Amino acid sequence: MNLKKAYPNYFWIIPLVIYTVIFILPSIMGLLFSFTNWTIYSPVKTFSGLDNYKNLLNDNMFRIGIKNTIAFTVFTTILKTVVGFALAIALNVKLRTKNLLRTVFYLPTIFSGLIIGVIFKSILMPNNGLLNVFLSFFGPALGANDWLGQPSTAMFSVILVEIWRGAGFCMVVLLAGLQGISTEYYEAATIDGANGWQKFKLITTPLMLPTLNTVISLNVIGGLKVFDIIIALTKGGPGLSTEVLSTTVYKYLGNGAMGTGSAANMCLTIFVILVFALVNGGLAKLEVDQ
Amino acid sequence: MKKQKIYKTILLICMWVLSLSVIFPLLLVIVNSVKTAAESDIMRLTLPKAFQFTNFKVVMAEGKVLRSFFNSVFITVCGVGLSSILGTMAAFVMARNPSRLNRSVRKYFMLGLIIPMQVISLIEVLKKLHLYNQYVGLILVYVAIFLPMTMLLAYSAVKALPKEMDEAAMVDGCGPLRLFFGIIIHLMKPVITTICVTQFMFIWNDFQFPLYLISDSNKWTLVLGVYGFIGKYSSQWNLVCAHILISSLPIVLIYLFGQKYIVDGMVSGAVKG
Repeated sequence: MNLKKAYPNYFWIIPLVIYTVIFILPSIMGLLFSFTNWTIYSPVKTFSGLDNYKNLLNDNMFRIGIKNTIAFTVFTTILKTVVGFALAIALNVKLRTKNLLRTVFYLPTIFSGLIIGVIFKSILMPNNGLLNVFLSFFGPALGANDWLGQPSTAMFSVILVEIWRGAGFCMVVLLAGLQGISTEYYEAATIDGANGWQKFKLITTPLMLPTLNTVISLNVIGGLKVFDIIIALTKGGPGLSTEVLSTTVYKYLGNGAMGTGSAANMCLTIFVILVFALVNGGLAKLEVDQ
Repeated sequence: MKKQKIYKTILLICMWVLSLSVIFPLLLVIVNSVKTAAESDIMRLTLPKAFQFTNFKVVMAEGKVLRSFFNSVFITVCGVGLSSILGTMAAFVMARNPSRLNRSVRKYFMLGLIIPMQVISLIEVLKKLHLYNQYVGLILVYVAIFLPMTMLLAYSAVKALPKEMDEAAMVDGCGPLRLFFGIIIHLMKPVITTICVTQFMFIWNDFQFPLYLISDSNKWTLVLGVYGFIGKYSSQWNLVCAHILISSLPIVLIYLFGQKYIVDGMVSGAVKG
């Protein structure tokens, strides 16, 4: 059978063109633009070397943006994975209504990040928000926080909302992993007199490493690219306290600083690729060692 | 045994208490969507004095909801349809004929799984092609983003299909297009459903690309509509809640219909997004 005739290359020509023009071309152009002084006021793009990157390093918004992106990514990844793992283990027990509980915990994942943000913006309102109304049952001082309006609590609140949204997703993926572990291991361990903690540490954790690897990679990449939820909750404020990389790109574009914005976007890309390589390399090595 | 039963009951109670933290915020939206503006000023979980279904009518009239709804449907259906058909076709050929060229093309596509989109230059490219602020432009962006993921999922699904079937079909005089659309596509229904459900949810919920690429409010999607709406009606939470409810209903339906397909797709697909 003539493979080339049976499986002709024109099957992938259209996808190739779309992907190249709409995805690869902007990526290359973005890299080139990041070395130009292009702004909305001077549409002529002239080469300016590393000026944009130098500007970024001197720009408070970008520096804080990087710091916040890292903090957001680290905290949400750890907490979502831990909460998701705990939920997965709890709902892997034969409980009545466990399927319904799984559905409930997964529910936040299906909504748009923007819409979740809008809902929580109302819940976290200083005077009439549900959270403060609830907290003031325990004491009026507790219910008087402007969660999103104070620089000290804004990032913390955004992180909590992201955990609310994303923990269910981690749970579902980890549940699929848990169900793949043969019960024979646990039976053998019970016969050998292992307690619950030992079983968790010596059977569950090592066998779950591949799944944890997936969950962590997804959370890290999602965390680095976070956009919707920040825009809906705080727009990067108050001040610069919840500014992240993708919102700085949006703001540079809004200010007409296209070259600088492209450079900021390029930094985000480099970040994602680096972290992806690191997380995958590091965790894959851990799996082999086990 | 009895001790274990008590543990389980305690665990069950704890889980249901914890689940309230998920249920309350969602309930809040539903309850407040049928309140008056004054009642929803303090967002509480109390039932309204009278159900104000007129809120939905007001939102329909004010927020261009119907228009946005059809925009969302059109963009999502076209994006999902094109990405799934084009991606499976490409994956089919690449899985069946692992020539050097096909292997390199496949690797080239896989770059798209990790690299984020460069939005500023994307706007520039679309402007040059006269696709900025156009449905077609936004749809093509989604297709380009999702092709790698579709191909990744479809590739392993094609690998699992027996090759002898192709040969038998060809001996009977079946051309490649008929082979694909007549036979292969039907055998790949499970994976195609996974791809469609996952991408439907992503595109419907997406906020970033319509925000960057569509400036004309007549072409806004529902999610972008919600964002525009809170700018105007930030003090009327009852209307905002009604808008949110209308915008999220299709996604809830898709979720109930495609629950079992979503997990597969999310795991392999959420790399992108």
